[in-house]
Amino acid sequence: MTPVDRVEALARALRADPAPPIDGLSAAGARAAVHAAVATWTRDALDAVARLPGQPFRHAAVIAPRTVATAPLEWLVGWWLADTAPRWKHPASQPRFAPWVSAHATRVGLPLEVTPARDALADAEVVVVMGGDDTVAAVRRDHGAHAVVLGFGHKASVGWWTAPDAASADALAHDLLLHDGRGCMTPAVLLTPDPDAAARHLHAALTSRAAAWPAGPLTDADAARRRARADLGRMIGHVRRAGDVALVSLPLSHARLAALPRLVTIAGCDDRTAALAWLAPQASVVSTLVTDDRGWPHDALPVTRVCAPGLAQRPPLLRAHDGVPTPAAWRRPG
Amino acid sequence: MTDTRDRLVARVLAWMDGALRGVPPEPFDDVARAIHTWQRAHDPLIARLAPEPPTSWHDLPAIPVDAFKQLAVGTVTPDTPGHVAFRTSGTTAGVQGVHRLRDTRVYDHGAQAWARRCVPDLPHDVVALLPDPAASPDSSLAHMVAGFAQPPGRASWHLVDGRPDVAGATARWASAPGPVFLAATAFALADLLDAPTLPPLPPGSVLMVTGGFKGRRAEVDGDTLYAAARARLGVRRVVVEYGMTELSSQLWGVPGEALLPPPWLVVQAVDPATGAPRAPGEAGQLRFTDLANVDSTLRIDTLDQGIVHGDGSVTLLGRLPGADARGCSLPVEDAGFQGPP
Repeated sequence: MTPVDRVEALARALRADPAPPIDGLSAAGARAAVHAAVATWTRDALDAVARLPGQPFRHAAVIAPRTVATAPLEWLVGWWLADTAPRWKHPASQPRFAPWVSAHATRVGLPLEVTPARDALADAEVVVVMGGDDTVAAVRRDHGAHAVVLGFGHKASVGWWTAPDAASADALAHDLLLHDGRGCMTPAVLLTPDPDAAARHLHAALTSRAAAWPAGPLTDADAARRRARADLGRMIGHVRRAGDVALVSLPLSHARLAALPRLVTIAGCDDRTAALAWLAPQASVVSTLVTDDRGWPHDALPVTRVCAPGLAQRPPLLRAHDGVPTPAAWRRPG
Repeated sequence: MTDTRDRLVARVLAWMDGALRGVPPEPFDDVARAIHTWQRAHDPLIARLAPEPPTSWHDLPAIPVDAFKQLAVGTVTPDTPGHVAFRTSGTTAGVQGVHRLRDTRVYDHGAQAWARRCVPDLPHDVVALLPDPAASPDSSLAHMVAGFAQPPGRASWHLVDGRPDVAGATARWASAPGPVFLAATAFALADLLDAPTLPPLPPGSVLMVTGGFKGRRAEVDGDTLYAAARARLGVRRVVVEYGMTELSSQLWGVPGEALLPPPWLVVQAVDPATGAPRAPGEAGQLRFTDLANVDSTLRIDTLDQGIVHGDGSVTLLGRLPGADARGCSLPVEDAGFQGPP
C-alpha cells in the first residue's frame, strides 16, 4: 500500500465507525464532524499533497484545540504523505478522540503518537499549534529556536448572504451546526440585506436538521452566554428558536464576531459596501468568509479564505490556512 | 420623573434603615415592583425584556451583565446632566461596561451602612492600593472606599499604573496615629506582598481584599494569600468584599466563610441554560436583585458561579466553568504552556 492508499483506508475506517468519541458533541454531531474532516481526502487531493516538493520533516507535532477535536487531522495527512512521524498533543479535557484516531491509523499502517503530556514537542522539527494567542506566543517562545512553529490563534468566520433562499439556507445550516457552532470556520455572524428572509429560511433549514443532529452538552459559561445573547436580541432585535438553535437578529452595530454554540447572529447589512466596511476593522481575525456573492472582491480585505455556503467546514487540504500555506507544515523548502 | 425617582429613593433609603433594624417598612416585593415599574417606563430596553409587568419580584427580568458593555442600560443616558458613571476595568476583553446613576445617595447610604454592619469598628483612616478617585472618578470601588474615611478626605491612594506604590503606602501606615483600613484588590495585595520588607500595620487595623485575578495572571490560592498577608503585615482582621460595577450593593465576609449580602440585595444561583433558580446549597450562575440599583436595573445575571445558602449567604466559586473556551482557541493552561512573561 502507498501512503495515499493508507490515508484513503483511514478515511474509510473513520467514516465507518459509528461512534467517534468526541467529548462535547452528540453522537450525531461527532459523526458529522468526522465525515466533514475527511470529506476532502479525495484521491486527487491526496496525490497532490504527496507530490509536494521539498524535504520532509522527521518529527512533527500538532497541538489540538479542545473545541474542535478534528482540527489536527488535516495536518496529520500531510505528514503521513511525507513520511513524517507525527505526534498529537491533545487537551486533557478531550481524552478519547486522539487515541481513537491513533487506533484506526495504526491498523492501516500510519504511525501516530498521541499524548496529553507537555513534553510532546521535545524533538519536533515542526509544530502546528492551534490555540489562543497567548498559547501560540508561548509555544513560539519555547520552541521557535529549534522548530518551525506555525501558530493559529483566535479566529472567527462571517457570512455575507445576499439572497437568502431555501437552498442556500440548507447549505449554511451545515456550516452553522458543525462542531455545534464552536469552530473558527463557523459563521459567527451572517450579514444580509434581508434579515427577515434569512431568519425565515434558516429557521426552516435548522429546525429539520437540528432535530436529527442535537447539540452536545454546553459548558455553564456557554449556556449563560447564549441566554445573554438571546436577551440582547430581545432588547434590541428579535429572537427565533429553531430546535435547539437560537436565531438572534441584531442591528449591525451590535453584532459581535463571537461564536456561541447553537446560536446564529443575523445582522441587517444593506449592501457589499456596508459589509466591507463592517469587516474591515476586524478582517485580521476573520478565518473564512462564506458568501453567495459571486462579485465579492477577493482582494479587498485580508480574509484568507472565501467560499460558498455549505463549504465553510470543508476546506481543501492545499490552501492558505489563516494566511499560511498548509505545505509549509509538511515540507521544508528546497 | 425626578419627583417619582425621589420618592423611590426615599422608599429605598427607608427600607435599608428599617431592614438593618430588622423591621423593613414594607415588603421587599412592593419596593422592587415599584422601582421596576418606573424603570420599565423610562428604559425601553427593560420594557422590551419585560413586555408585561411582573406580578412578583421573582419574575423581574434579568439584564445580562455584558449588556452594560454594549447598551446604555437604565434610565440614565450619557446626556443626563450631572450623572455619575462607574466603569468596569475592562481588563479581560478590553471593553468597558458603564453603570450610570443620577446621584450616589442610595449607593453611598447602602454601601456605608452594610460595610459598618459587617466590619464593626471599621478604621476611619484609609490606606488604599486603589486609584485615587479624584483622578479616576469612574471607579466604583474607589468611590466606596473613599466613603469609609472620616473625616472625609482622610484617605491616601497608592496605585500607580496599575501597580501598588509600596513605598508610599508603607510610609503612610507606618506613620499613622492609629489603626488603618488597608483596602486592596487581590492582585495589588499579591504585588505588595512581593516586597522584601513590609512594616506591620498598626494594631487594630483591618485589611480588606476584593476581586480576583481575571485577565491578569494565574490565580493565587486565596488561603495562601491571606496567610501571607497576616504573617507579613501582622494584621489580625482580614475581610473580603465582593462587588461589581454594575451593582450598587456589596457582599462582605471573612476569608473561608460565605459572604453576606445586605437585606436589600437578594442573591440567587440559577441554571445557566434556563435562568431558573436552583435550590439553596446548589451551585449556579449568580443573579443579583439589588434594590439600590434604582437608576439602572434591579436584576443582573453575572458570569460568576456560586452557592447561595439557606440563610442567603453566598460562597463564590469564580467564573462559570468553560468561560475560556472560544472558537478554535484553548487557554494557555489547557495547552500546558506558560504564558508570555
